[in-house]
Amino acid sequence: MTTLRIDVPYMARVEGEGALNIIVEDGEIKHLELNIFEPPRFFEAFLRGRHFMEAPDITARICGICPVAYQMSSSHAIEKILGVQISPEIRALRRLLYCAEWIESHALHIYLLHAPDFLGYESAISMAADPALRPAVEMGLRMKKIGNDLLALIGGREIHPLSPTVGGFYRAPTRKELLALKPELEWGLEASIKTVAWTATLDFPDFEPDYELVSLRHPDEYPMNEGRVVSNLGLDIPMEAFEEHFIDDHVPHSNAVHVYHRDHGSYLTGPLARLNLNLDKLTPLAKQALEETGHQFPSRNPFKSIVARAVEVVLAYEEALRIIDAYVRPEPSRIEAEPRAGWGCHITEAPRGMLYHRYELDDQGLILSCRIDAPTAQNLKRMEDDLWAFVPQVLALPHDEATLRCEQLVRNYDPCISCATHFLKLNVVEK
Amino acid sequence: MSSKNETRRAWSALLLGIGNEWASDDGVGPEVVRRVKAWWEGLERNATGEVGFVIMAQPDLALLDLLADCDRVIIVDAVRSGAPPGTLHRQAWEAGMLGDRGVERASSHGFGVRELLDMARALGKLPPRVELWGVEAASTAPGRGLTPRVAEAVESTAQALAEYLANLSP
Repeated sequence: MTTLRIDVPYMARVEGEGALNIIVEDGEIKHLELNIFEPPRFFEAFLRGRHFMEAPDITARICGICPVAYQMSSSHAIEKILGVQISPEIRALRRLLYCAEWIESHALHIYLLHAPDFLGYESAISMAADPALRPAVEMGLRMKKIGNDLLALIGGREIHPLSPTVGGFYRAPTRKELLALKPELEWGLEASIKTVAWTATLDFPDFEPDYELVSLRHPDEYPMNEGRVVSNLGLDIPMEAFEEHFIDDHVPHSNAVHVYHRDHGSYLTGPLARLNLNLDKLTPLAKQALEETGHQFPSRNPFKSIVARAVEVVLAYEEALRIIDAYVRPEPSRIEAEPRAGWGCHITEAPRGMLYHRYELDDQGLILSCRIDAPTAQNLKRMEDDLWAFVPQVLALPHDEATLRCEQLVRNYDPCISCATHFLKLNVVEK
Repeated sequence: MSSKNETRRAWSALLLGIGNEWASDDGVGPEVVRRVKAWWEGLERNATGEVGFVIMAQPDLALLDLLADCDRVIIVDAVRSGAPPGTLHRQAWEAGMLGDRGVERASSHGFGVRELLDMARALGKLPPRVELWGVEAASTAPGRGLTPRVAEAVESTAQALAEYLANLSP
């Protein structure tokens, strides 16, 4: 009997802690699991009894890469309960803030976490040490920094921003402050267009499993803060119906829940799903950059998520520049909200995909219960299903390469285990 | 962290206090740098060059640009070598000197001092001098506050660092 054992006890270049264990006997997968051993984080329990104004600040701590997503989903959900209507100026500033987060998160993943897989480097550090690739790493770092600088200006600081809150912002930046960032944003836009072309030259394994892609969709724009939940299989529901369709499930090998679609099982959320479902909503330069790659989209090849991510960086820079040009400082910067009892939920598009928050408040404005479904929790089951389909393709490869390909597959999802545990090491076992 | 937002300029020295102040003695680097900063800010500005102070729970990629902009960096961090708690280890950094911390290294959550310096070297952003001032930790258990022998070492380490800065040629 031949056994292949893939054991990645601690998965690299992902956010947080998880392992991958695969056992293949005589060409048949006997065991496959993404083992999420990062401790559970209990955020939903921490929030019980807290005032609604604390929700954006507490939930932002779930992630150092995408705190804005947590602030946005929680604020919108609570605003629905309290009947708060934000102004168009606050709405625009929120979209600008989200652009900043997409830029810094995507640039980090493309250049520092994912590109080494495609180019055969152990890490971004060894990639940077290669004179041929050093300029690419430098470009990625500068693109990321621009996102961080924009985030710091709007949010007060880069990580866990202070200003965003229920109803808007404690302080809105001045037009002059934002205009000062324009030269770097214009450089970033050019760099992001080059990045799309660069990602398009990478080698993509021939792998197109059939699965459901789910994202928000908005009639007028590429989705970030608003929209309906749609899929390539015809789903089209309001956010309020999310829990009727998407079930979260606890599995023994994971401290992260697995979310699956009641009708179709595992599904994909994130840049590839968003792009496939919103191709007609791309900004002009993002659309042109994608067309010039020669790659056909929609595409279900998860390895091409790096191209999707790069296209979204172009879009985020374009949108940031557009919003800054039209910027009117919100007055007031925050709409006051009075406590009232009720139930509300909201989904925004975090860099990694849909982030669902649902809250129930009492008449004092204290949180009675909440549910948070992070994008990685929604993608975990899809990752495992992808591996079931992909592992047979790599069995003939040398063990180290097979292991690396499986890891690369998981990294297509830019998994944020810290967000999901509330996950990665690869253990492939061949018997 | 005030130095982070200052306009770009060359510092003669950048002090980097690294550590999680919610993990007992891991907070020794920040505490030492805070003391030295307070002392430095109370001085009459004299002929010594500019000094930057940065305190962080864990290194960040944003530090790369700061490293490229200073003549020397002194990294103050908690270390574990088996020496008595509070022992000060001073040495010039060399590639390969810091051990692989194992599991932490793998994820982007594990971007530590070693990864920062390796990345800075790969990108040609290392300052001419890189010094490590490590204070031997007794405990990194969750919670705030230094253990007694590490707390005692804060003053002497800050003093030694202040003398070091005072003797820098402008």
